[in-house]
Amino acid sequence: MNIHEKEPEDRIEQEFELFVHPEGSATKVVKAGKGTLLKELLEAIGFQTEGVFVLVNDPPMELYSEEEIEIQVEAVDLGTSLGELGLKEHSHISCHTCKVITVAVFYNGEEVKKKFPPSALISFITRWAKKRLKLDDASAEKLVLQIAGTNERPRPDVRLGQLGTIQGCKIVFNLVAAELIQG
Amino acid sequence: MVTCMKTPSQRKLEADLADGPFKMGEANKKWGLLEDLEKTWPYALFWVKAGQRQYAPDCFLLNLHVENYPSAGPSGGFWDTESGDVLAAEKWPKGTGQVAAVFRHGWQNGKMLYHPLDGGTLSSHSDWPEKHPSDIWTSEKIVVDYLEMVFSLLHSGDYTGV
Repeated sequence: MNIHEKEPEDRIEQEFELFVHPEGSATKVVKAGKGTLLKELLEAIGFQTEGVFVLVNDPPMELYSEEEIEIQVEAVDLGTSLGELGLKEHSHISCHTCKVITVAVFYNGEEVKKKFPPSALISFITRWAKKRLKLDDASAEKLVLQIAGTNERPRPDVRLGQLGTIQGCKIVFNLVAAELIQG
Repeated sequence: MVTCMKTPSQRKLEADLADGPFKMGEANKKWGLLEDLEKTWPYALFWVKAGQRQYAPDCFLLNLHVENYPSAGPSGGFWDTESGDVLAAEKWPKGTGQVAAVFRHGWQNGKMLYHPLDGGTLSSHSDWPEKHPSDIWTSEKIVVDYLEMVFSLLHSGDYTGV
């Protein structure tokens, strides 16, 4: 989607592609210029911006302690331009009504729990859960996250906030063995 | 081929290739489309990046039959553009465990991968919907699910090279 099709040529030249991760649905590709306001961009693609937290770029979650995650997740001001936010080609924008989401993961009767921003990748949460459960690489490689009560195993490139099954800013996963193919 | 002659399957695949999940993988250099879909239809030729292994290429080509996408899953195997045919057995990605199970050159002469996301293989395994409820191809899935499966295997500990 190009939201500036009718803009002057100098503005079109500065356009770049961004990935927008909406609440409960698949990633969208959007083209916009550095001067575009975040609110302008989101509204142009039909997103509700009222009461929504918008996170840009990927927070370096590995650096945060459990207590810090909620403090460090800073939603951005929608009146800021993409350029001012430092967004560039293939930057990520996540939108969600929850600023953080409590994730519980069950494995072999053990539970680990932590708050993550909606922008957290499933691959990152999977690695975190395995580490917290002290599962070594060899035994853990074939374990994947499955949303509790479903057969749904989100792809590693999906962001937490994109899952449609989050209620009350909480979600529960089971860490399960991948379905092995046998001949 | 002019737009009005495109089938619903081709239009759906083109839309999925222009959408976020495929473009993100492309931006992260995980996979890409090698040739224009209009030239290759009803096949789609992709490259998929592989993990580094001694004497092995850094990516493989995957030629997928996509004529009935998404009602039927993509179906195909590793490809050699020089011979214009399925990649020879000695150049096929190899390994143990799931890599050996899914990338078996002997299955349908290398024209399909042995996985429930592969539409051709699935059609001959009526018990797989029950055995593999999460991995089975459904029309809700997209070609990225297939590419991610291949990418993951080519980066797993089971993959040893060629």
